[in-house]
Amino acid sequence: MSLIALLMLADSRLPAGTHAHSGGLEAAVTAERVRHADELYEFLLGRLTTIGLVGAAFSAAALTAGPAGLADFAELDAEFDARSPSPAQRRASRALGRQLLRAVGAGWSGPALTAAAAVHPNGPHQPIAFGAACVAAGVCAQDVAMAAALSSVTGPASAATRLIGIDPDAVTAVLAALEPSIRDTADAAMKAALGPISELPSFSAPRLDISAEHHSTWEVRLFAS
Amino acid sequence: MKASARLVAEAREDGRTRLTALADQAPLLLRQTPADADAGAAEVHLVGGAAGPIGGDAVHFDLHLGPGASVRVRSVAASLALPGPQGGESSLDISVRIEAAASLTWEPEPLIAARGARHRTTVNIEMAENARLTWYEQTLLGRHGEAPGSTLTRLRVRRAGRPLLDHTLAIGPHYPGSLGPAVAGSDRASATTLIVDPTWTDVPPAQRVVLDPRDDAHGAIAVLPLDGPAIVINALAPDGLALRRLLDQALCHRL
Repeated sequence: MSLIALLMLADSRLPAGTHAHSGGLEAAVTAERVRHADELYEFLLGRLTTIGLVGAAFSAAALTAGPAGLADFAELDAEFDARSPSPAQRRASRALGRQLLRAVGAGWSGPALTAAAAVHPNGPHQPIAFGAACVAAGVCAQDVAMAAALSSVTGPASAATRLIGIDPDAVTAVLAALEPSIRDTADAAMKAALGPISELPSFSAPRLDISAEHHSTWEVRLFAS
Repeated sequence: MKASARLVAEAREDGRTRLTALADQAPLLLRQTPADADAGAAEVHLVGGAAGPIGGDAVHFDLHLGPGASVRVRSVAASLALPGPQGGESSLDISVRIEAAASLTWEPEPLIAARGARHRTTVNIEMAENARLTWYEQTLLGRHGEAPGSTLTRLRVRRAGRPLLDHTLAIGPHYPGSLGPAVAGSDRASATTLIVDPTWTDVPPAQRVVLDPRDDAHGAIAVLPLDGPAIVINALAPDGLALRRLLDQALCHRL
């Protein structure tokens, strides 16, 4: 039951707006920091172990908070905001959270979705929305952490085929090579999610923070972030 | 080596800041120095009382600024983190409380992580809504021409009881992916500056700090306005000198 829902929520074809975001890859490609599969692997690994881990930990924490502790959504959202110094990334995260709640609301319902939507007028941060969606769909915390960690790299990976004109099979090989790291990240996220909210991880990726600010000023770009 | 140090500052009736406690232990020694132009503030220099930090060292530093107190903390020289005999991590835990209308400026010289070193700095700051803070830290991975060591710095700030910033920078060979193009790339020098100024509630930080974001082979820098009267300035550069140049240019633009 929950596995099917999980696969639906983690599917990039869910109309939640993720296809419009490259997770910082567009800026990295333009700056010629990512030119081929090896550099894509390093980029994705760095993303996974920093903001990927943070997102997965917050998603799992949002799930363990709900439905009994929906009040924690506001605290989680404020803590996630404090971990997102880049205004461009804060905007992108809230836009993605809002779109995810809208898409999920078409198929599932429940107090978690309502509570998450009420967290902020511009929408909750994406990991809080994802955790709330998984509460509504009955997914377990371990699976939430896994799906969130995975999605921190699959979005930019699919953007890579458009941005560097790389062979899609090479991208699949990169993702497959990341599998053990994705599992480790999900385990670390799950462990953190069981602790106090204030101690959730806050790893940052300064290159992504800096380039997100540049990217948001470009007049012509393929991706929103 | 385990050690702890403590600093307590109070504002006197004439507005000048008095240090009511200044306790230290090697390797972290504190020396009060004559404050320069900034009248009324107390200035303290951190002095390395031993080599290191060396893997296995654990140092705690507590700072408490009472209402209206003003303190500036600097250091006499860069500190060099070295690997320990058992390969363990060295750590520095800093706990800060800044009460109403008090002001802390923290601007020590860089931390250099030598090859094989692993150093962790954890900073927890609780500040009042009308307190001021400038927190500046610089990390260099490896001495000149040396392979990088690893450092983790977590800076967590709560302002008026709410989280303002929680920022961890973990870079070096110990942290997978951190020397790749998403985190530090080929740069070996990084700086994080946090400025919290309650007067910015009236004028948005974006209008106070004018800086063109830059992102090229000589360095990358951006001013990141937080949700509150505060900004973070993130900077990366190939080496310490390039980082210094990049920041000097940025600070020129500060209104």
